[in-house]
Amino acid sequence: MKMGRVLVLLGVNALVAILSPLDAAIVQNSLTVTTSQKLEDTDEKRVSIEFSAGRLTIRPIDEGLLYRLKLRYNEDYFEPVIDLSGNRLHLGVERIRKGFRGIFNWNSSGEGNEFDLELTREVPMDLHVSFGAGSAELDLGGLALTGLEFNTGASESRIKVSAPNREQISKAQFNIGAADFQLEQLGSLNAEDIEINAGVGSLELSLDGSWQRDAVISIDMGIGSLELHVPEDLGFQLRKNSFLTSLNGMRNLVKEGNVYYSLNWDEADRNVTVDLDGALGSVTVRLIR
Amino acid sequence: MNRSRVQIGLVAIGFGFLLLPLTLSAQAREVITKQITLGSSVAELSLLFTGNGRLDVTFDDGVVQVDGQVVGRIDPGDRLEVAWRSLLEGAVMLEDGPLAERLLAWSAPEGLAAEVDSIAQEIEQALQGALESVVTQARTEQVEVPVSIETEGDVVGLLERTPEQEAEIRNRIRVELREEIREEIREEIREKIKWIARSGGDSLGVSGNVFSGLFSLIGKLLLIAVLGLMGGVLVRFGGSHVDTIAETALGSPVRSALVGLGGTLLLMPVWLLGFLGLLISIIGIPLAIAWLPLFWLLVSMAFITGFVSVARSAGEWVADSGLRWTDRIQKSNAIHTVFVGLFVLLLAFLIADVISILPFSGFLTGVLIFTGCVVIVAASQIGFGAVLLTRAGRRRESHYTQNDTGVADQEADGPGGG
Repeated sequence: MKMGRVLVLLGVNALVAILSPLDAAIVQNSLTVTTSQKLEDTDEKRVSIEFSAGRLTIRPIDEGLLYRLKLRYNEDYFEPVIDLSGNRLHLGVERIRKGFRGIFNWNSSGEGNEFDLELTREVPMDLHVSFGAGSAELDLGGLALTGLEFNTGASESRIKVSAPNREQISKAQFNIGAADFQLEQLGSLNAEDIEINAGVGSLELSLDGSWQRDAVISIDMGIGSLELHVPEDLGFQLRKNSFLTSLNGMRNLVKEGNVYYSLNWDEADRNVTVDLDGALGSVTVRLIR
Repeated sequence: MNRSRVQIGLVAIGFGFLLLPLTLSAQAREVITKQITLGSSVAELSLLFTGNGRLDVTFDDGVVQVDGQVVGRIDPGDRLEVAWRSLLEGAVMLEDGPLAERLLAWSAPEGLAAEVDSIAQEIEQALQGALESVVTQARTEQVEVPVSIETEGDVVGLLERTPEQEAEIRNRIRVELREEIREEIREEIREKIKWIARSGGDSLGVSGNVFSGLFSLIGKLLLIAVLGLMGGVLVRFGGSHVDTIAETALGSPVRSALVGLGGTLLLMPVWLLGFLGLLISIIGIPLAIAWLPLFWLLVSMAFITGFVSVARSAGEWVADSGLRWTDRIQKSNAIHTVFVGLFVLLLAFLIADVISILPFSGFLTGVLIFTGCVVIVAASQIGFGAVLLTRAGRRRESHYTQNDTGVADQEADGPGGG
């Protein structure tokens, strides 16, 4: 990939971040669209979500709907994309006019672009989210995910899996440009291979939740800090291949070369390996109950 | 005989009652897709039903359309538009049956002008035509539950008890829902407390950012103070040596950086070879033990000396820059210039710490930290290279100088120089 993709995200979002203050200065034509789709079948869907800047929320819904989406955007610069064709669902906003104005769509009361999506728990889905800049709050608890890809540029993103995934994910991928990124209850994602590519920023991963199988988490980090919250009863291994990276909280781990093990590695019901490839930054491991 | 006829009659009515939902659902339809758009000049409802039926009612800048046909024009902000907007705002979270009921229950405000009133009637008729069967379907679904419960029992009893049972089911659902919501709220609070406890107060939003930003800022200021004091000691006791290193760093930054980079890459091999060399010479064995830590101590001192020298050069450059506040810097006071230089070299980090206090500043903070890292690495390499070139300030390194006519005299940096 991966650093190339991260660098592209960084570049695009540098422009977004630098030019976004222009946004607040202009009069906005804000439009709010609320749309919903009745659940007609439970065939697996590929769900693509694209949102350039603003506040992104995704959570589950139980009302006999496939999805309910509330979108707020600047109609002079964007138009909504709401397309369900066969087993492909594409939701997002598409830029229709060049320029950086209107990208955040902030109004005088501080409200800006918004993408508030509720997704059914009943349909297995391969979820792809591309989010530019702003803040994201995702609760994937109880969704039936067969795949997951989350791409973000410059954002404060928090993803939580508050209830176990109903399906199994073979590979979950998170590509992060420059972000404060939090992943909570990662065990409930039910993924055996989790890949995180991060450019600049801070990562906070909580390895709690209900692990259904052993898993490997590969983290490729440029510059930044990584904080890992590890449950005491989880077998944990950190394989470090990094340059100029400081390690904290390793007292409760056993070191063998570049590998750190938790004391219960051989006895634990579930084992999680973190493969860390980092350039510059700090890594902190905290044990939690 | 008469009694049995009555019973047969009631059974027949019962069967008819059971078949009624099937008949109605065959005619009824459901809302498959709902879209409500609200903007400063737009208020639009778009519904798609089973069997590809659809309903579109649009108020767009005073133009009212029903199913794509213009039915009239009103003044933007007219009472009809206000009422329509209010209806849509209330219907945003409703689906299917309840949505249809809400839309059907709507009526235009009274006392509208004749032309506007006819538009309102068009809308009401369109809603009526499209949604009546949806409401029927919803009502049918509601009565299906008690009927199915009672199919095995007495038909007369069924007809008498249905309202009571309905009330009981409603009560039961209400109690269950209440319990479920309570449990969800309890669970969320529990999760929130867990999260706060786990993050140890580090992630408490803005206040967490403020504290971590302030602590980091104080840390950087302490670092500047410590390095500044070390710089003061170096300038005090090794004055001319530091001068020489600073001059070299300023005069030949590229050459110094390249030498510094080369030197950094060679550190590990030199350390190992030095150790092995001392080890194989019998006299050097005791020295070999001392070599292991001593080498890195010397390297650290070289880096610090070089960095402080670069900081001093940066401080002098700032003093010469002619900026408004720089006239307070005493260029003749080396300690003064070292402190100013350290501030300049760590400026990106200091700004990053201040900005990190603000929300949504992750990206800018990241860029500043990256810039700061580049500056620090460059300054360290230039400084280290200058220390190596000048043999720790004992040998003056010749470099490019600019003569009065503006022509560069090539001394050591150019080909054939040095």
